[in-house]
Amino acid sequence: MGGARKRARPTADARGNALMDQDTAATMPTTRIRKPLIPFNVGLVLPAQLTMLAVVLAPTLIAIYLSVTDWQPTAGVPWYRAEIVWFWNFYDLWYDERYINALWRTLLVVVVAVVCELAIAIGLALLFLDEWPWRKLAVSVLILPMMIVPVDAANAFFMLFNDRGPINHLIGMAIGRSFEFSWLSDPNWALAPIVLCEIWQWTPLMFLLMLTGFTNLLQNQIRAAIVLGASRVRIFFRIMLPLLMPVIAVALLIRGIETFKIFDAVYILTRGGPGASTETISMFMYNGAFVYFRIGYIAAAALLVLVVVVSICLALSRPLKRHHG
Amino acid sequence: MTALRRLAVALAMLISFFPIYWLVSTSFKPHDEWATFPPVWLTERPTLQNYRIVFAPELAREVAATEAGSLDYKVSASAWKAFADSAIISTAATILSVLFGTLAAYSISRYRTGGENYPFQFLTIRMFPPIAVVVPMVVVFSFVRLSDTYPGLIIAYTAFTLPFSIWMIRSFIDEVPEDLESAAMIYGMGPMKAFLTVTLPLVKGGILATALFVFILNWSEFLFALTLTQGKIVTVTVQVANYVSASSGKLYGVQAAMGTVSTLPVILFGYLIQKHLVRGLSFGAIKR
Amino acid sequence: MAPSNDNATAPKLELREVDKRYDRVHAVKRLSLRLMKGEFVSLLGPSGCGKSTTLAMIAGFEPPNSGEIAVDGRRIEHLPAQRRRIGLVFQDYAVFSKLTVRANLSFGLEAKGTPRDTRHRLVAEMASRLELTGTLDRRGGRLNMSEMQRVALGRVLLTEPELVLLDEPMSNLDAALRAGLRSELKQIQKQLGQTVLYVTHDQVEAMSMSDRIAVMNAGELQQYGTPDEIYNRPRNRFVAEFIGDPPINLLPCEIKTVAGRMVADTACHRGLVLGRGRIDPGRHWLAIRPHHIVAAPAPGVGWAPAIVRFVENLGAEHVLHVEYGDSLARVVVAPGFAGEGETVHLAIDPARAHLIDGASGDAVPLAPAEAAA
Repeated sequence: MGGARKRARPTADARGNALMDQDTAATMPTTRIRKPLIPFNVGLVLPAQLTMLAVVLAPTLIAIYLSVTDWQPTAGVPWYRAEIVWFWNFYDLWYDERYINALWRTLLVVVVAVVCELAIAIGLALLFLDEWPWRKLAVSVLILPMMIVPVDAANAFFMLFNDRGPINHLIGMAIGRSFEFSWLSDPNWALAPIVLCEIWQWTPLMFLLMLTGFTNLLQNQIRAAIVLGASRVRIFFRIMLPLLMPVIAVALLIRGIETFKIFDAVYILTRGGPGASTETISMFMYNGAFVYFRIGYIAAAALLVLVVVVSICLALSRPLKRHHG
Repeated sequence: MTALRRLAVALAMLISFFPIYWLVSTSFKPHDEWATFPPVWLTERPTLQNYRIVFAPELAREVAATEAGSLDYKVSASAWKAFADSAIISTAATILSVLFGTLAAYSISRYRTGGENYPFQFLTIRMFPPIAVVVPMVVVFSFVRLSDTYPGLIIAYTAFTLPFSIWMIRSFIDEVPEDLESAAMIYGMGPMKAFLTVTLPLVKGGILATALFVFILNWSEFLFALTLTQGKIVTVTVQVANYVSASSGKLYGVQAAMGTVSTLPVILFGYLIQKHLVRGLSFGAIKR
Repeated sequence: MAPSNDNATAPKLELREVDKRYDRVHAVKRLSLRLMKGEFVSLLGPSGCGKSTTLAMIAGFEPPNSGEIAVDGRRIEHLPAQRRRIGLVFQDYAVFSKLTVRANLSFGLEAKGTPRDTRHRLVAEMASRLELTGTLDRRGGRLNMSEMQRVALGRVLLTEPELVLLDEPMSNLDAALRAGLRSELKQIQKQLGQTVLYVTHDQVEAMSMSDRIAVMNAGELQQYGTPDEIYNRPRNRFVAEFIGDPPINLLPCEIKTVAGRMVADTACHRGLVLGRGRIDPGRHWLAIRPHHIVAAPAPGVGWAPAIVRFVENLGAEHVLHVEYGDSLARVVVAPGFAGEGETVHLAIDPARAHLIDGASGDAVPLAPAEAAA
């Protein structure tokens, strides 16, 4: 970062000096070059940068410290005097099935949710490529789910998937006999409402991304394919999809990262239960830190997740960069 | 084909709309229709009772005594308090985030401050699961006496929406040709003045959209509000969660009422900035 | 104006009274046009004249509001674009950027279901004809303009379309490239005997490549004829002014009839005998090309003096902008003939001049003056 700044400085100085020349030329003919302590442009990013550092760097450093302690707020010792246990937390995590399971479960949720969102979104977007009456209104209705507060979305799904809620009733109507099932208290099925809630709420975003992607596509390439006599299916797979790839990559990246953090829906719907059967990584850490008060242990878990997430993201952020060009 | 298409669109619209319909319709149901089987699709006896309880929890005791004796209304805070807390925190954090974001975005857009990769470090904050930051933050905040205070949550919200502010506003500024500012500077304006008088008026719509977008994020935030408070401060999302968890989630009507009122403002703002949502949620990467 | 060979087979493409309106714009007004097989026809006009809309209607992207479009005598307005068998080369070429040149070329054949072997053979042939063999495995997005143009053309030609439409295919190119591509395109068209409708706003392209030119303005067909006819016998003021570089001079003139012949008086020349024709006496326009005003250094009978205001150097020739009454007239001379501020003497060849009705803007047909003598 320091190196990058140095590279930028000449531009800023050149611009600043050019201006200063004019200022001084107008007011005083003497050459007096003030060298500001902080270059103008660096000063501008400072508030943002300092906030970032305060809220990310400081806690991260403390997390590193905590991760080698076994501190628990209930132990009666202040955190800065906690007993150092070195790497035992990490060792324990490695064998903590609940942690490993939460990780895998989160990845499963990410893959299932994001893939479903993408598939539905592309299918829907294809229906919206040409103009038809009420199209704008339909789009507005379709994006309603992403407009509402996630906690409220989960709240709605909590009621929908109730034992005596409308979902069970609809299933009952479909199969022709009364159907009563406690979705949220069944270890095998409790994850389904969570994933469905996530898909329901965020498919609209995918849909908007894909719709934007499609409308920004080079229309003439599609028209060219049409006059060459290609069928819709061929045009979609051979021309449109390859052109849409950068947008798809960005969308997958963004949604993948966001879904990995999934917490609100889990908290509202199941709190990770029954047992630990719906515990995602965020929920695992919440329970560990705020239910079992194992701060040191969870700090270690958090660090591991950070390392994994950041390295995955750095590897994947290239499409985003390329798109910004 | 067209009929099939219409059916697909209609189905998608129905699915999009139904959970919200259910939330809103439940909020108007009298107590004895909350959990009947078969469920009541549209109540014939709409009531505002649930909303009254949301805003005046002391009513709940009377209602509990008469109508739902077995239910335990644990939530004692009024929704007014939650609305006030959420409004204060969200507004303050939005102003800070957009202000810092505009300055940084201007610097990055016009001076390439820090080089090409610099703005990406702001994105890393969106990559962390916030819970990973929250655990040490709780420790820090209680150490510096920030937990359960407005400034504490405002700082956290500002930091976590900065990436959106910076990237979104940057994408708006990038669309204004730099030559416009250069032209103003030739007439002797300083760079900041050139930005304020030339570029800012052109991007103020974008900045406003960013502000609304950030406000929505702040208002909707749950995890920080849950973990960095201990009851003195209650945001709307925490209030909703309290209703869901109270009485093992049997307060359907009341929790639906709370859900409905808590989500109304952001739906309104969301539609106001509909055309900028894609840009915002993709950090400016995908534009219309 | 209409092609004379009505007796032959049906025209390759025929538009009959085709009309297109958008909300506020009447884009194409009752356009009728016929292309014979193997003809190279240009649709020429300024931007917004309706030529692109016409193309879109022929290709099938826009339905006409009324009128008929027929290929080989069979009406096609009701067919979707996929099934019209009309090739279209776009302004930006629309080469499939994510596909290789090979896949681009064989795209139409694949869509048609041509067997693999035939496809390979045809693609290879076309590639060598268009000198694309070396680029076959390159992605469409990595081609230069000339290669893109050839890919776009080859892709279309391989499907053996009834008709090829080209939509301003040179407008994105450097001037230097254009000349080369023009001749290349014309050559390919001739070799294959392909019928081509070429949309352009560039008169040089239209003049140099076309068998016939259809000049359009404001949605209306102004004139349809060979480049020669368009240049030498413009039907109205628009065509006269639109064609020719440097542009034609429009000199205000006073017309009277003397002994059955029309005589024009301009600001500087009097008694120009134009020939026989019918027009109301009064103020009209005399249109004369800068090449047809003769300039001499010394005065003579009927020559009018004029001061040179400035000189445009075109290299091979100079264009003098001379004072002519209240306005300036353009005169083409040999390089170095006269400089700024000098006085030259001008003569107008009335046989090369066109008389344009001041009210209607239409050219007045003129019979040779000798016939009256």
